[in-house]
Amino acid sequence: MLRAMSILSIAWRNLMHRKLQTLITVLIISLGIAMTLSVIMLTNGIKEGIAEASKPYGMLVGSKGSANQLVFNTIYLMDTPLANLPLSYVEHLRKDERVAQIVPFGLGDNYRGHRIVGTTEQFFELRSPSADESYFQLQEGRMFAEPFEAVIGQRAARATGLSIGDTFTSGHGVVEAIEEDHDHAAYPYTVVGIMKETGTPADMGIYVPIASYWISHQQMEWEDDWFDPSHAGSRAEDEIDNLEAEHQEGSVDAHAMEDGYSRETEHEAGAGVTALLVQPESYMQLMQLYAEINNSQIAQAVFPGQVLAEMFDMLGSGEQVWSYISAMILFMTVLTILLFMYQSTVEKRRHLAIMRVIGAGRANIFAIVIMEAAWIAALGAAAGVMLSFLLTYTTAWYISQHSTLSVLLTFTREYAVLVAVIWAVGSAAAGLPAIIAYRTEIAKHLQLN
Amino acid sequence: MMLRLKEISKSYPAADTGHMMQVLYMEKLVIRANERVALVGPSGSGKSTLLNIIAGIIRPTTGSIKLNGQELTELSEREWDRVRTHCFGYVFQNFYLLPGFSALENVLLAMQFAGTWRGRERMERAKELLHRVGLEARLHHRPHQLSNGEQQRVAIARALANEPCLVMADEPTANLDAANAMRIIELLTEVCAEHRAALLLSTHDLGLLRYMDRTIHLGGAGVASNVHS
Repeated sequence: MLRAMSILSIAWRNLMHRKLQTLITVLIISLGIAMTLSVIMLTNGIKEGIAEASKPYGMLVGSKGSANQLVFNTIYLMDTPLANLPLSYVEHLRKDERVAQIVPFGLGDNYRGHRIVGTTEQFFELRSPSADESYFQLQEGRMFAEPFEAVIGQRAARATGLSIGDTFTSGHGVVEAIEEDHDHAAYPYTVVGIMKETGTPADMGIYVPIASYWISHQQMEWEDDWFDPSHAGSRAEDEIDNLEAEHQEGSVDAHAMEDGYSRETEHEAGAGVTALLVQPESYMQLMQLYAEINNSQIAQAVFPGQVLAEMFDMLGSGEQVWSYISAMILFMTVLTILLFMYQSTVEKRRHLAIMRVIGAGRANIFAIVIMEAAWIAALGAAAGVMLSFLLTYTTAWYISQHSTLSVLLTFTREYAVLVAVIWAVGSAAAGLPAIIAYRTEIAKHLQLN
Repeated sequence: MMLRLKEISKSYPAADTGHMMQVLYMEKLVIRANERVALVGPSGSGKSTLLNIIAGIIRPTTGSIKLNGQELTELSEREWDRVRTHCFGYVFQNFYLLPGFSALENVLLAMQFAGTWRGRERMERAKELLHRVGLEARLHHRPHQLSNGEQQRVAIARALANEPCLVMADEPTANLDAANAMRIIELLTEVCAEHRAALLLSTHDLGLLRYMDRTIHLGGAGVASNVHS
């Protein structure tokens, strides 16, 4: 109670004397702060989530087309796949001495909306830069060894209820089909492993040997050595030249280029891959390959980081609008405090005069008014921060439930600094009312003249 | 303690003509320790004005006020605030308690602002004063939960909080019924005596004068002053 009645506690008691007005003001301030912080945290969280998900991926190679589509389809399991790259082209790259490792990706099927990604064990060896451990790891079960064995992402497992030993049948296309796909029904998958959660879109994926794709789409027979591109269609180096020539003559399947993945395209083009992760021996070779692939008529090479940077640049102007809106909200927050404190000071000048007559100096009165604003700003900021966390985490959860995007939320020092600035500016907003209070004349306001 | 007033006057500009109008003139007044002095006179005679001038709430137009030899009229506002806080206690006709604070807190605040006493001692003194004025059961009541008489008691306890050498009371019984007024004036004179504080009060109630050592009659329009012992 009054064990140490300081200016802070006097200010608090003054506020409590006007509970309703104080509560409404704190509510308005907290909403302003919550909206501002939520926008900033979500924007940064989505960016971080997108950037984090691209970490283990180096140079991606896919068919000619949209670079964004290639990156978003392969890494973020969004959008439709580009047309397949023929296995002969994969073979061509594999034989290139500059290439250290190739990880294929085949996309185009789903299980209850979760993308089925055909790949190889090498996918699970990918590391983010400067990391010692593999980025994608198993939590339980084992790695797939045969076609139609599946390792599923943590969130996919939770969402589908699949566990080790369960079987499921894929559907064609990237969205959940309304009717059962009878072609795929003959090729059920068995869950053999569940991945650790990474906080990236990979958690939503179902990873299977890429040969499963080819077999289920009748592009190859079941063979033991299931990822050897030469088995799927033994095209020689000279066939690449033929492909180049076909593209130049315009005989390439334009439908496939425009519409992305389609069953007809697969059949016409034979077994293929949607994308390749190509890791060369050195940086110099990486740049050489990048230039060569992009100069070819068949494929494109992209760096996910570069694509994302361009995308963030495009989003930059939108962010700027948000920052203006946030600044406006903060300005209104400060005005709210100013208005509340002004009204409060004018209303209680008699009380301030009583304080003066029983011994409070003008400086005390000034400090009491500033402290009242400091209390209000602090309460508004605290409630705003809590509300912003609630809003942000709810929105992040919603995004994760309705897309493959993960929002990587962090509370950095910058947010704390921002809240402190809001508090300081909010407290300072009481400067004018505090001056009015400072100038309170006892005789005038107690009518003692 | 000795308070000495000399040729104190207060003038205000008239609302209609703007000419200066004198509302108080007092040639001489001396109040010594433990004295009980009453100011009587018709409304507008300048009783409250005189108290407010001594308390430093308003400045005199002319004259000198010396407290223990120190000239108060030459003090800065801050210095006079300090004198008011530490040397004077003031009981207002309208009590002027802080509405958001309990009886105990109202007394504590006076000590808090003056910086007198510390921590537990401050608390103990506040409780003791409220106990002395018969409000030990009302410590945590806020002004609106107290009767007028009780509010005036809190105001008396508050006025005594910093051990003043002079307690001033402006019409302390004006808002009280006769029985309550008598009890309050008895209490005020008793506690002032206990605390060795002089008492200067203004009143219309001539029945209270028997409790006083001296009475000072202020003339109409505050122009003249008559002093009777």
